[in-house]
Amino acid sequence: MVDSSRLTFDPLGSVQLVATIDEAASALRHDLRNKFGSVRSAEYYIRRRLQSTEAWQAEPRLEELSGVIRDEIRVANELLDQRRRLQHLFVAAPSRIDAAECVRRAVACTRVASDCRVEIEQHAEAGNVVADAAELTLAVRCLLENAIEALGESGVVYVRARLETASRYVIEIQDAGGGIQPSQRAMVLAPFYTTKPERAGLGLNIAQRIAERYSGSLVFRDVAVGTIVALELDLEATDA
Amino acid sequence: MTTRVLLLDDNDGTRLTLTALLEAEGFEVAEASCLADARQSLAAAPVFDLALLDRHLGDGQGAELIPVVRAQLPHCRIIMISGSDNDHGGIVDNADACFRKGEDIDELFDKIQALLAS
Repeated sequence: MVDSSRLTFDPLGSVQLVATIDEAASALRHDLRNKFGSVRSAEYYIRRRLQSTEAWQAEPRLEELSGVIRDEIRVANELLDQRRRLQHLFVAAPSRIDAAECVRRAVACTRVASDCRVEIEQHAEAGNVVADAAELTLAVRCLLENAIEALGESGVVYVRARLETASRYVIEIQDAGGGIQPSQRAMVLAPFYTTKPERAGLGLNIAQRIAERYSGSLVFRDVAVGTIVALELDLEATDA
Repeated sequence: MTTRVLLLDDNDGTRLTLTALLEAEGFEVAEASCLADARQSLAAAPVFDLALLDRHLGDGQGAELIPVVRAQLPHCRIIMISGSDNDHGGIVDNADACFRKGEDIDELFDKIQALLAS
């Protein structure tokens, strides 16, 4: 854990930058597809309604311009997909790694404001998963920093990493902050959702995307006080 | 007989335009902008033949409604609609079909007709 006011070099800086761009671009593509869908539906409706009218027959440009809308939306959609296909250039190749080591590294480079008195208590059991070490470390750090923000000025964040079953590795991050009601969970997972204006509101999204990239998931677990967010991953399959 | 559609989407433009298209084709449409509204619609009048469910909503995932629809309305067909990167029209979440926003509207109607005829 480092004092963020003294941080001069962030070992996860480049990974976080790529993940942030990836997440922001994905949210933008989603929003644009919503808009394109509405425009395409509206054009379809107007065209169908006008095709049987005299105005449509009398003014050839109506059909021509209607076609322009359709074609431009189709091309715009294709452009979105082309950009998405470049993603593989930024995604690291997964390999067999010890998830516990990622947890320890994440704790070591978690950033805490100098005026906060926050401790991180960690217990990490060894477990091999198939992922990119830097990305998994970043995912855990995002969750830790989220938990620290929930605490406010002081408190303890617990990170427990363990073999939950013979095939499942779980990294739990628990804080004693205000908690997240089940009805709010979808909202806090929306891209750019934040209660802190100076933050991007992408930490949970980045963690979720990384988890899903390696066939895992991000889940909230019920707890009396505060929040538990769990990053679940498949353990590397071993030969019997 | 009129085909009744439950349309769940938190995007105002999507709801407005899809409702206009569906109604022009003779469907009867009940709109819901969030999961909670959709649950209310299902509880109040469980009479839908088709459900169009957006995947990502402000209060959850449209897929959360699939087991509810399946339990209450075994005959009801379900199409997931989405603008997400990972959805390419393949069947997900135990839906009957999927439609990607921004794609050709004729494709959506083809899927609807095929499902309702089956």
